[in-house]
Amino acid sequence: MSTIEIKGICKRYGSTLALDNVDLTLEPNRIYGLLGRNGADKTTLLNLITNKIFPTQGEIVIDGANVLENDQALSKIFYMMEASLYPSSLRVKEAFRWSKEFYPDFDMNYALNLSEKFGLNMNKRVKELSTGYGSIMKAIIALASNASIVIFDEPVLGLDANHREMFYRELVASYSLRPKTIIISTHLIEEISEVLEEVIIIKDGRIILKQPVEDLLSQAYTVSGEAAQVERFIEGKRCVSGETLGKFRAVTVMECLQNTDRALARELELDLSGVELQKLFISLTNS
Amino acid sequence: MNRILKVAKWQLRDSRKAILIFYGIVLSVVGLIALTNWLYGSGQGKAGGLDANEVVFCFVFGLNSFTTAFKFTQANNVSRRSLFIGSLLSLTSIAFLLAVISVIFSLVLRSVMPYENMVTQLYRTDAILTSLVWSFALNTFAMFLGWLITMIYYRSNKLQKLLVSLSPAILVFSLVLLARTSIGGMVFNPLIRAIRNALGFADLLNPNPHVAAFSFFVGAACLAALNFSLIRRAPIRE
Repeated sequence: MSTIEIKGICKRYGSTLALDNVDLTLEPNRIYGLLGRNGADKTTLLNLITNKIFPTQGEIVIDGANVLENDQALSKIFYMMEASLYPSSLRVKEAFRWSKEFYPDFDMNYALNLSEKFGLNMNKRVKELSTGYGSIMKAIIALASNASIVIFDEPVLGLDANHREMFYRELVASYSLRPKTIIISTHLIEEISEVLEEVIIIKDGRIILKQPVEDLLSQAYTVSGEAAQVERFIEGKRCVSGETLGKFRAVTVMECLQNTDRALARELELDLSGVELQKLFISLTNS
Repeated sequence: MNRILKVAKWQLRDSRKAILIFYGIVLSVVGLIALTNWLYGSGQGKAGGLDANEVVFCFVFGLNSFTTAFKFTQANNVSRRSLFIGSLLSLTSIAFLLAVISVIFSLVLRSVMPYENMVTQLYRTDAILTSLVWSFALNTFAMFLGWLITMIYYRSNKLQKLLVSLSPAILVFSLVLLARTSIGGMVFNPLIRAIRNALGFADLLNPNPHVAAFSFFVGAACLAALNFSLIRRAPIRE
């Protein structure tokens, strides 16, 4: 059980302010999705949490201990980075063995089992793995590490649809068996939305939203139908996006759906439907 | 402490192949010399200085001991402090191991052919303990120097890397220019005297290898301090 507290974090690269006064608390044993457009500095935030880089200002605390060069705090985290930091000549089985050295709770049997499921050749060297299998090796180490905080940065990079599906299934199974704090940064929002409990959206170096997925989706809906009627319906409402196709229009409304809205939609012969997380994300980060 | 030992273990395990290859080559050369000696006799000459290769190996080993280890320890979320201390342990252990092997080599070679190691050639002593301490000190210094250079490269941007690469040439060129000026002697004489004293040649008739060993250890400690200042805030570069 580990709580991550991010307090007033700023990160500056020369004259560029990458992260601007980020305050965030991540509760233990939840699955967080860290979402943001390209260049939103999601990886910068993850690198700061794991002491890969240093903040310009602020601090990051895990269970009351600052992560800065703190082995005790750092050993609670496993961070699957997008880039491979493993020596290229290292064999997969050696990578597992060394992970066991640094993470004593590393479940070797589980790692071997997953390797078999994914078809990962244990005798191959890191440099011989394709992008997809490189991701699979790192994901297996992350899942088997049994660290109380596991961070995934683009975990399904290069994976085919079957392997992606398998990964999500294994992630949920591993979480159910041994709850932990999981942070996933990905662009494949639609695929991961079923897995996430809470989303954190980062835009221009600031956290613009942190909310349970269920709450977020219940606070928005899509209204669609004849364009003129839709325009009548959304009058005075907070809309985040809209699409028009001929006379047809669909608009995402960022409000809780009331009975009066349902009645009005019926009267105007409009359809009401839920919002997909990805569409909501696009709406929120486009504005 | 546990993570420090794991880092040291990783680096020692990682060094095995390089050490085996190095000694494979050294043994081949020694075998060739011994064979030539046996076939044609030693004549008036003496073999020597095989341990100089060991110093070069230590320097090159130091050059290769940072980037891979840094990335690997970062993949396992190990602090830079633990990496530094773990590296100190592993590098000094390897330097000591090579010094021991070097002394054993000298003893074996001396028993089969006329051979002088570097300490004997420079300081006219063949005391085993002196040779061991001197080699250990020099190996450690060479290793830490290589380690420092690779770390400077890692922390530098393109322009800084270029400057670091050119710095030996710039230094030599500056010294040559300085030597031609009227103040050349004022700078060089004390400098040469200081280096000579540090290497134990204050009294040329009775050179002292222990002074040199002490200087190498002090130098290695200074290099280690510089290394720590570079590693403690090193960001990961993907």
